[in-house]
Parts: sequence; C-alpha cells; structure tokens
Amino acid sequence: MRELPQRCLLIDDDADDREIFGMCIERMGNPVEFFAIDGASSAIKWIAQHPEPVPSWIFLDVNMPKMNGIECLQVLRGMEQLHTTRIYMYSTTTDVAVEKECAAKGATGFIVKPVRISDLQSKLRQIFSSTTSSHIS
Amino acid sequence: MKAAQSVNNAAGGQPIDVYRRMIEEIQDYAIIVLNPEGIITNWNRGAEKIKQYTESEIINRHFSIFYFPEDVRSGLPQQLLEKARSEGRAYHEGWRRRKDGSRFWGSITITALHDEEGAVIGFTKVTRDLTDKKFAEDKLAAYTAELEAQNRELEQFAYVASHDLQEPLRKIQTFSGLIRENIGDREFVERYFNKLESSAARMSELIRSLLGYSRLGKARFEATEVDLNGALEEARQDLELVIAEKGAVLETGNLPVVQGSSVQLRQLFFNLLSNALKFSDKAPVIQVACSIEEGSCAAAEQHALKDYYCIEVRDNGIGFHERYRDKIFTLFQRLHQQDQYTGTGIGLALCKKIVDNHGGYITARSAPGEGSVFSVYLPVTAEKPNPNV
Repeated sequence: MRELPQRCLLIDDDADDREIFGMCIERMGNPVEFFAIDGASSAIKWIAQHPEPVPSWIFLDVNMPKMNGIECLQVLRGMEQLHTTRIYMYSTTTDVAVEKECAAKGATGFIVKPVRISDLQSKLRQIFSSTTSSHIS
Repeated sequence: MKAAQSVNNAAGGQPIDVYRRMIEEIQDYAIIVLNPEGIITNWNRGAEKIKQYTESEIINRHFSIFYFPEDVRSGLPQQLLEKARSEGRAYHEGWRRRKDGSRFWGSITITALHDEEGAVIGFTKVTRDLTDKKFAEDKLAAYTAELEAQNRELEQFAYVASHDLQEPLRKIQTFSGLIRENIGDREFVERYFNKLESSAARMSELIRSLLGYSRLGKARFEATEVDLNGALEEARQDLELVIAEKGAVLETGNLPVVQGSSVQLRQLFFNLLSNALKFSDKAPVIQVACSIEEGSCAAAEQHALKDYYCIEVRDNGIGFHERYRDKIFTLFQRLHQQDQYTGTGIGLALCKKIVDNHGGYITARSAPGEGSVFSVYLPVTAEKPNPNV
C-alpha cells in the first residue's frame, strides 16, 4: 500500500508569502501535502478539525496581527498531538533574542524568508528529506 | 591660642575677635547658633542673605521657622536636633523656606556644642544654598531620562525599520526574480509586476509614516493654548470625504482648552477619528466628550494626584479583544490582515506619542462587536517644574 504524503502547514498572514511558499512546493513536485493558513487562531482551529494525519512540519510566521507567531508557537507546543511535529519559525528578519525565545518555547528551527524561490526550495528539500527519513524509521 | 584669635587693631585699641568677625561676615554660609531647645541665639550675615530675616527679627525664634509645614508636621527639625545631640552632628539636604515663603535647596549641618563635662549646651547650624546646583541636577536628571526614553524609542525604530521595511523589499526582490524566470509568460509577468508595484507602494507608505512618527519629537514644539474644539473641527474637515462616504455621524460635546501643540492635537483627533471610521462594519457613530478626572486615576498609578481632562472618543465599530488593549498602541502593530483593513499600524502609535508629549496618557477599552472607547487624558494645567524660579 502506498504511503500517504506527509502533511506540511504554513501559517502566515501574508497572502504573497503563502503563494510563494505554495509555488515552491509545487515546483518541487508536491512532495508533501501542503496547506496554507492565514493566521494563528484559524490555524489552531484547523488543526483541531483535521487531527489526522498529524502535520510533520509547521512553518510559522513570527510577525502576524493579533496572535503573533511566538504566542502561536506556545499554543501549538501545548497541544499533545503535535509533540512530534517540527515547528520552524519563518520570518523576514531575525534577531538573536527572538531566536532564543523561540528555541526555548519549542521551535525546531528558525528560517529567514529567502529572497529567491530557489533558495527556499533547497532549504525545504533539506528539511523534508532529513526529517522524512528519521520519521519513517 | 589667645594670640591667634585676637589681634590688635591698627590704632592699638580694643582687641578684635577674629573668629567672631569671620563668622559674622561670611556671606555664602548661614551660620547660626541654637540653644539646646533649638532657639536661635546667634545670626550671621550669610543667614540674613540666604533666609532673609534680620538679626532682630529672628533671635529667640525656634529654628523650625525655616522648615515647610509638612516637614514640621513630620518632625524633621526635632529629628535633626536629636541626631546632632546623640551623634555629634546631623546632615540634611532639602527644601527650606525663606522669610517671603519662597523655597531654597539647603545643605545643612547641625553640630552639637558641649561644655567641659560633655553636656550639650547648644548647636551650630551651617546652611548652604544649593538651589542652583539642585536645579542643575534636576535638569540633568530630566535630560538623562529623556535621552534614555529617546534611546529606547530609537531601538524600537531600528527594529521596525529593519523588519517592517525589509518585508516589502524582500518581496520586490522575490517578485523580480520570478519575473526574470518567467519572462516569456505574459500573464505571469503582468500579475507579478502588479505585486511588485504594490510592494513598492507599501514600502513608500511605510517610510512616509515612519518619517511622520519620528518628526513628533517632544522638544520640537512650544506649548500654546489650544482649543480642542478647534483641533477636532479641523480634523473633521480633513476627513470630510470619508465621513460622507461612510455616512458617519459625529457627535461632539464641549471640549476644553489645553496647553500644547495645535498641530499635534489636530493629528491626534485625526488619527482617533480615522481609526473609528476605518474599523466599522456599519455607518459609524462617533461620540467625542470630555469630563474632568480629579486626583487619583485608577488607569495609571503614576499619574495620580493631578487633575486631567478625560476626552473620550467612542465608536460603534468592530471593536477588539481586551487582550490587545496595550498592543494596539505599538508601532506597526496591526490586528487585521491587510486585505481586511488596510493601513500601516501607525495611527494609534502616533496618538500615544502625541499624548505622551503632552504629559498625558491614553487608554482603550473594547470588546469584539461592541465598539471601542479611546480615553485621552491631558493635564488640566501645564507642568511647571520650578514654581519659585
């Protein structure tokens, strides 16, 4: 039986960034089942409504209106079913203090939004391949 | 010893007590002698100069006459005397009162005088007028505090500049890369050129609003009397088109005259009204009213003990959750996605800065779907840091 593709979520309020991320996954040949969600609270709702399969990766924008990415991270890390999910913070800029805070609150990594779509592709390829193998075994 | 204290005058007549003369004629220090109960028994020229009483007016009075009523009530003069009695001397710095009721910042040393057996027979009290120094120090402290506040603001500014300006710039780069890769696909190119242009427009809008915000420096206005009715009316006129478009109703009560910048206060109303007009899902009804808030204010502890005008701007708009009541005043902090309500997130940050500049504060209360109330507190009287100067 063929294994279902693993699930990947992007939580980002910026429509352009959602589009670019989606375009990137498409160009990679859709190696994952991808969903883009436009905000923290709708993402939390979505995850509750779609418990299976548990997302393998969540990319979380830091700067969002209302609940920001760091607050959202805390909520997600409080959800029992997401304990194996890799949560990457995804932001325009970075700052040592913010990165430390995110790591302390359970972020797997911190990705600065790349300028070139090809850079985003190689970054994602790396993330998907390394975690896929460890996940399956 | 005797020879050192007294010299014969030129005419060879009576010996002169040099120490006594010296103390009497010193002008920079008030040097007085008190009996064990604190009654003044001796007075020098310096004391007359600093405290304004002549010798005949002050001899036999109690030295607490130099203290303000609140210090007398708290027992300060007696405490200093007791300390000098038990420890030999007492030092204090504080506001003291001249004959005409004005104040000076005194540096005071009280030293106990003892007889051969060690019993206290009185005190000397040396006072120096350090008012100028005190004012210089206060001014320096205020300046330092302002610099620190500006520094914090600059940090926030730098953060905002790096993050919020980076964002559209990054998109411009991404879009131009995509266009280059798909240069043959006319539809694609068209679509991404539009996106590129709107990112550039957004960036320019952000830069403009940042510049406007940074120009709101505190030191840059001379306070004048500003009629808030006029400031509100000007803001209303600036927004006339939007008000007509939205079918908004503006109900205004009578507003006071305050000390401040007319330009900034007009901007304040402009932004509060724009906010109420923008975040509405039906025809906006905006009410502006004023009341006086006396003395203590539950809203902010540090603002107690002063009277404030409380100007309320109330709307029937979409409101916001209580948990965002502080966040909304942060620079570039937005509660809505760009496609729902447009804007840069600078309006309320601007309002906060203007109100800060006027020695006041701003708060907001709201609930989703129930409209919002923005309360602007402005001091009833302008601050006068040095009333006696």
